[in-house]
Amino acid sequence: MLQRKNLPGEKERMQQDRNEYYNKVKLKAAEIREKYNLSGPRILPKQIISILKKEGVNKVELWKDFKRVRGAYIINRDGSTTVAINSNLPRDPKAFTLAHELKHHLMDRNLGRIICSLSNVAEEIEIGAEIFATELIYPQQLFLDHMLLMGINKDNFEPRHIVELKKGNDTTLSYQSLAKRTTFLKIAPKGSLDNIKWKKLEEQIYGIPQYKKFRSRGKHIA
Amino acid sequence: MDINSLIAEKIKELRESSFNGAGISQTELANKLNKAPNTISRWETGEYKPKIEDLYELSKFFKVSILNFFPPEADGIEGKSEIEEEKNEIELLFRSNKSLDDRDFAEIKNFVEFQIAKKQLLDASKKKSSGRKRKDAAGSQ
Repeated sequence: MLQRKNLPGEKERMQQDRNEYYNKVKLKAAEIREKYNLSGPRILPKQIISILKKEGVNKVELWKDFKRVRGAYIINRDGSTTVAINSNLPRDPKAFTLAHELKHHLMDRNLGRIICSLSNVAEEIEIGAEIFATELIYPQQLFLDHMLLMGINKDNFEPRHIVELKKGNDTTLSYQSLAKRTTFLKIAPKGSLDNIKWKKLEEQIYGIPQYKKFRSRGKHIA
Repeated sequence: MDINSLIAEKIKELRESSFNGAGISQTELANKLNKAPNTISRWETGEYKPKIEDLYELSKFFKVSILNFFPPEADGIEGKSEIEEEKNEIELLFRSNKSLDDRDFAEIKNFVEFQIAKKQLLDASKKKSSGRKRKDAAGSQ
């Protein structure tokens, strides 16, 4: 089978195009934050639902029978739009998925129906939506400002700093996304945060949350 | 036949033909769906109208599409029903996107079919209520 070789500089040009696209996505997220006066890193699902509606999405449906599908952006036959979200998601992934679908509504409407599943996260428009969601919820610059305020840099960084940051400002960006960003910004070495159990670490630092204590007490009573 | 009679008939038909023809009693079905024992009988006689969520639970229980409870409408392009066109569009989307697998397809199809069913039920109730309004208006003159 013949394989098509890359033309000289083609790979670099493709990367450049991709970076340009991702920068455009980041700018869009900043524009939306400004438009809706989003100032902190704690953007709740209901705030994003309200933005989706103000930006023209006709229906936002929480659907309990999604297992693998996180969300979907649907242009209906009559031209109206629906965002469907997996209702089983906890607060932070729900906010992230809603923000992700907002990017599809704002930037990919011409593509029609878009399904965001576990199986297509590597595609460019999906990566773009992940970048948009991250920037909408917790912009990179704000994250760096907070790290600076806490006196964290690449020389003294420890995983517990991410837990302290999240506990401190209750950001709706997940531990996984915060860790990804920390390594992307080279504050932590690549791969060093991949296997950390963030919730467990949080419990080690701050203790077991009350609701978990009640739950285990209930089991003993039963 | 109106949509509510069709739904009533379909519930009975599914209940009686399920489990390889052995069927399931109204009481058993009510238990499975966490409903009062006489609810199923009232759905089947048309005394009660099941909500869209009830129809969805029934479709899951009998492992059929929720669209089974609705008549196929032949008002789309080239005589195809709107439901058929919708199904074709979803299939096209999945064929053009190789990274989505069958499980994603099944979940989305289920969601879209629920939305179509909901719209059909809403349209049917609108048609009925607008008819009543005209009658009331005529009566008041």
